[in-house]
Amino acid sequence: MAERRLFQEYNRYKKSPPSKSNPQIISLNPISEDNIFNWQAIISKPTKKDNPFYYGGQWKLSIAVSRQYPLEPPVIKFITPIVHPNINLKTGEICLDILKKDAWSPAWNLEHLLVAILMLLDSPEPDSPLNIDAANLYRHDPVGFQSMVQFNMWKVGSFVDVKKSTPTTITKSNQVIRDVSGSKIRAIIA
Amino acid sequence: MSSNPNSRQLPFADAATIVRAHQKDAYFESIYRTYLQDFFQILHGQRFINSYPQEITVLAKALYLSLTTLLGARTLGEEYVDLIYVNKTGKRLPRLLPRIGFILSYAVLPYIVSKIFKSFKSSSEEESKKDGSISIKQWLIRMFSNYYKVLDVILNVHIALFYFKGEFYSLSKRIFGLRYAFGHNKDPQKVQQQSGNYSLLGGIIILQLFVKSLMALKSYNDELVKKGEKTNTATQRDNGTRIHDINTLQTLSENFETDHIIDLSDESQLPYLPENSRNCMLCLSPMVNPSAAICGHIFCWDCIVDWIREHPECPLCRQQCAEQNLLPLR
Ligand SMILES: [Zn+2]
Ligand SMILES: [Zn+2]
Repeated sequence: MAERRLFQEYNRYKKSPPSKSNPQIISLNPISEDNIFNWQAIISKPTKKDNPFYYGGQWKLSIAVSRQYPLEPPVIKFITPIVHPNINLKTGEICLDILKKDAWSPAWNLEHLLVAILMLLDSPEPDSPLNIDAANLYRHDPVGFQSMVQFNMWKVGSFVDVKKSTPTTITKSNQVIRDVSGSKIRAIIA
Repeated sequence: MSSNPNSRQLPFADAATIVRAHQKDAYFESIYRTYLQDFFQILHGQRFINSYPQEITVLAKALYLSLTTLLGARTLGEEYVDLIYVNKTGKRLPRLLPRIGFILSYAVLPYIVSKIFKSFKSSSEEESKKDGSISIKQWLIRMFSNYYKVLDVILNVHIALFYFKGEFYSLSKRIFGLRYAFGHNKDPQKVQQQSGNYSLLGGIIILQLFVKSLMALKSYNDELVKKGEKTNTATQRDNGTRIHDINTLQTLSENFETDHIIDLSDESQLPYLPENSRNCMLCLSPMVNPSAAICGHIFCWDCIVDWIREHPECPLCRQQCAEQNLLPLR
């Protein structure tokens, strides 16, 4: 059942790519067509309008689907390190209720899960943290949290690839940060 | 029944009153049990209650009687209809020892006997698996199972006797000579009238026993006759019919499957379902054997059964739905 369902999903994503309906999803596909159970995805928050903390970033995710799918949820992790109250910085583990067995529903698909993760980036839950430092900073010092997020994105180089992402509305703030990438970033924050 | 209202002796109680007292007591015992259950739930959790229901009942019964009869007080049921215990002669109150004996034999003994019987049974089953010979224990078990049958008959006779004469409601009370008397004077004629309809019940029980024993006798006789008839040919024929049965069953189930699959990729099947709702949300394919949950959401039978066995709810709207609530569409 898992295999048939995954191929159905794959065909559906090929026919109408998730990136078309949701520009924050850059890609979603199996790593190789030989193994339909291992997927990867790239999500992004291109502009400050998309997200006040994570703007300009993009992240790669690994999606491991079990043979029990869709009776069991897939395991999704961030491959690109990200500073977020509900995401483990080292392992990329995500604390999101619908990724757990109790709250999962087989009526959801992989695209739904990516949308849910994008929403988690917009509204972190500092009360159930996997990254306590980020949670505290997010709660007490949003500006400090923003600069920590952006600094980490610069450190690991997880900025949106401008050549690939074609949207015409790449905002100025985004470009400024890309241009300064280092010395001038302090000036902007200060 | 021969009580003289002029003497100092209290009149013996009649069957109807005793039954009423007993019913009241049974009700209070069950309340007692609920309280005990709540107590143990707080102390040891739900699992404890589920694994020791019998023990809790026995404890409730023993506690209830210890706090009333053992202390020489009346139970709530006895108080309700104004009964007191007297000894066999009806001239004095029962002593402490018979009261202890009654409580032990009434509340605790049946439980202990059944426990011993169970442990005997399980241990001997293991043994018989090992060597396959009939051991002393197995013989004891046969004794025990007969003991249950005999006890059943004795209890029935005893209750019939009670309905006739109104003396002792339970066997333990008879053994330890605990009789009920009214705590007040009663018109003996009235008492006689009331117990009249109860002797009818006694008569029915005796009749039932009689019929049962007749049937047992007949089946025993039939078995003896059959044993004589049964030869090797009979058993062979028996085996033959059985194999035949299995074969027909198999063909039946095969026919059933091919006849009854409803595949919605075939547009002529269930045409009332619109095209955009012919796909199953779980396997994302056209539904096979579409089945509706309580809420009306439709899935393949196989898909939804797999899910609902683990999580009794609709995957789409999370409304509670058990496996037996699924409705296959035809
Ligand atoms: Zn299905
Ligand atoms: Zn539903």
